[in-house]
Amino acid sequence: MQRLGYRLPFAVMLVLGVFIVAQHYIPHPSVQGPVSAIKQWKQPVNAFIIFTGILGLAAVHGRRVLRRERRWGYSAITLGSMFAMSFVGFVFGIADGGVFQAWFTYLITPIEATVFSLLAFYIASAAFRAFRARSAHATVLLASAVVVMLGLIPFVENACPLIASTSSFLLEYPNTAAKRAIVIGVALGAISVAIQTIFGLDRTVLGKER
Amino acid sequence: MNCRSLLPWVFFSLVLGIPMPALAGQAGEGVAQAATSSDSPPWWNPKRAGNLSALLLICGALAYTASRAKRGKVPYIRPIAGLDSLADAVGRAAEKGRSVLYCPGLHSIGNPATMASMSLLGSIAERCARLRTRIEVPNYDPMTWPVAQEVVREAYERSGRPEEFRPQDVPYVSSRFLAYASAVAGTMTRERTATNFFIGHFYSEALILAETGAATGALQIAATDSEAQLPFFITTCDHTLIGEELFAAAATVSGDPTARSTIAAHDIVKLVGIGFIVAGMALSLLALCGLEGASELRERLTALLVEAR
Repeated sequence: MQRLGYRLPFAVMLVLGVFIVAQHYIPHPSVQGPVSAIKQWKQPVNAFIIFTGILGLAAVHGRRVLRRERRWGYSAITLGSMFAMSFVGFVFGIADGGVFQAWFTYLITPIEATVFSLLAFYIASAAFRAFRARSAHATVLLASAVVVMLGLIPFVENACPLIASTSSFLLEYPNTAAKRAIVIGVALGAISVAIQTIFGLDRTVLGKER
Repeated sequence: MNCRSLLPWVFFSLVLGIPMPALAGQAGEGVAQAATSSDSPPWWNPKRAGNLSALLLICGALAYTASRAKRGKVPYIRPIAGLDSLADAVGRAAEKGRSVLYCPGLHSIGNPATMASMSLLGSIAERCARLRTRIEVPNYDPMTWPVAQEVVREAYERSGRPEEFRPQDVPYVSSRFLAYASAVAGTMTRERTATNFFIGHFYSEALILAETGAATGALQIAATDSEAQLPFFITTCDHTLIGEELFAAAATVSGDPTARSTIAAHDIVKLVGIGFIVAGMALSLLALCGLEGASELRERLTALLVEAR
């Protein structure tokens, strides 16, 4: 029975994996119909998984609060916020103009915008670290970055067309070539992992057979 | 409707439990179209011939290298600096008596980068368990979370210390990426983690995570297939596995010769790809020189390889 419990998910993965790949090449409705249905399964599966995630979150933070572990106050805030939003959403609905939407618009959105805006400072400090001419490679990087940044300024574009054309050359040729090389490598790696998983050569996601 | 087209419906209806009426709505449109038009819907999309050929080539290369590996001919994989430093990174955390943080990325378990990340997580968690170093794995995706928990649990079992596994060290955090980034940054700052791993697919939160880790002085190792985030990781992390190195690392740590052989399969496919690129360049040059037929041959090659849109 335990072996079946391990092999059944693998069998489902094999059948569905091969079917999903095959549908990419077979436009016939008798194949596309089931595929649409399979894609629709994702929504209830996701809903169920999020429910288990909420249970896990409540268990971890609930334990911290009950045992008064170190920094349990953060856990209390997390749990309080989660249950308050859920309560308001279930009781008063999530329609526009309601309490739920108001909390979302006036609390969550500004908080997220604040965190996102930190990126500006992080980019500045990362750029400062990256553009130090410590070696020959770093100097080349610094020089090309300066040219690209200057080339993107409208004034420089008009005043010195050579910088603008060098900037667009760097972006269009060496940069695009390097990015495509990475993308091709990633695509091959991804296809290889997918094939290994579908055919059971790599069973990490299924765990150990007990 | 003929019997042959009914077969997949019957299969999914009986074996996998999709009710037939659910299918009828979607498939009914196709059937109705088929009934009204004189031609039956096609069973094959000729525009994807090049795509299918590439897939078959990859499958063939994988089968060839796997069969060679089974005969004991395991390919040489050049040392990857980031991979070699994994062991040192965990050892550093053990020496300092601090914990290790592992972020498995923001994609679901169906994403190849996340699958590769799980392989690396198993190896790192096992090393942490052997050195009695705490590993924290905050999760963004609720579908990846139980898999990550199981991978870490198995790693503790392999190292002979199953009782030391703490499920609360592999929590589900949030599915809003900025909330996740804030929570992980908070963990880094409060716990002063000695080593941070960012392995998987990341978006704009990558810089928030990596910069916070750099500010706390942690040793950081990143591996991602997200080319837009690579510059940020290269800037802020001590070691970065670029693109396919993530998959190569996952295959290497698995210790399975068949998995390692897949790296050689990638090289075979790349060689064929380079051959096509060189052929395309040569045909373009010949067409510029005015050679008759070169342009037409290049167009045919392009039509074969690139799917028409």
